[in-house]
Amino acid sequence: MAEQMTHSINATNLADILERVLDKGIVIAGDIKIQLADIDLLNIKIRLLVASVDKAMEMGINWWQQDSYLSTKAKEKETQTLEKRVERLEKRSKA
Amino acid sequence: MNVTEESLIYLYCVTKAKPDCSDFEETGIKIYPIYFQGTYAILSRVSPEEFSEENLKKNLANMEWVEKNVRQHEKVIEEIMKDITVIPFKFGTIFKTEDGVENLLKENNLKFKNVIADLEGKEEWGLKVYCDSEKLNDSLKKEDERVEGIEKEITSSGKGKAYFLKKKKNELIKNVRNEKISEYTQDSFERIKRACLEAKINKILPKEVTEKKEDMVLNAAFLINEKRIKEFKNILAYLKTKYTNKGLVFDCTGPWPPYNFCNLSEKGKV
Repeated sequence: MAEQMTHSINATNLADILERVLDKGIVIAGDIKIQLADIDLLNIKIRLLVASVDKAMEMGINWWQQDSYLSTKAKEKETQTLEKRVERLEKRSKA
Repeated sequence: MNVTEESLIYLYCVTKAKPDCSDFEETGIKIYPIYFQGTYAILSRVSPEEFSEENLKKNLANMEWVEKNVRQHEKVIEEIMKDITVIPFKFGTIFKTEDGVENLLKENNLKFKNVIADLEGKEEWGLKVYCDSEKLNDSLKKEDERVEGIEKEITSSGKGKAYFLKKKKNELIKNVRNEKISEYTQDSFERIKRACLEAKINKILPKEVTEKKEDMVLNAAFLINEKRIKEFKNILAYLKTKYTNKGLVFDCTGPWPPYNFCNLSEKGKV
């Protein structure tokens, strides 16, 4: 049997909420724009949350970085390779 | 707080149905919707003393203020989400005028409608997996042949050799550990994914953020059809049985507003 997983705001770990509310969610610039990264006095917890450093590499547990479906980095690389290929082909067809 | 001309407008989420705003009276937050062609923006008035650009920057450095307001942001959206599908916005999305909000609804009308239609009947759940190092090491000693072999060798060796063998053993455990953690977390993720519509892996968070004694080894979010939540929970229960004595700790939360699955640029096909 699956055990009951209740979810209430007050009981939820703050990190869970911060991660979603500050780092995810729709970003559409309102009239006031705040770049968390630019705030000098930002609490260390928040800074670590929004910083791009990923502990996974450091720890050597990063199996998903190989998965192009999951990894944006891998996706970018794939796109770059494809772009280069298109470029080459275009040059060739012009010549 | 006085509702003055200078008060600012805080945007929580966008919906396509009108929520019951009276639910929030007891919390002291006055929520109200504005409407544009099939979409609602859910708003409240906030004071520039807290949310002007300058003051918001200052306040974001104050953890007590952040915690109170971030929980409130989440609470409002979750309350609305009980009845209708929401597109959650980032904390601190502020407008100076209602016209600004209306423009937002106008400009993104089709995108918002598409995203909501996409999210209808689906729930976001989060899974964070932690690893109890000692428990994992214990299980490795028992289960991994390589570690077991070197252990035996140590007991039958003289002092000098045993010293080097122990060093070698620690190095080996470190490598085997990461290998095992990868294997366990990948298996967990793949199994859960089968019950889900979308799955996403997020950054592993350091202990300073999680305040847990165990290291985080997987941080994932899933989008699940509400009819398959039971299946999802059963898989999770299975994984707990399979991996608890190997040191993994599963921390599952939800349903969340779909923060991880409402990318406008990806889904806003016009």
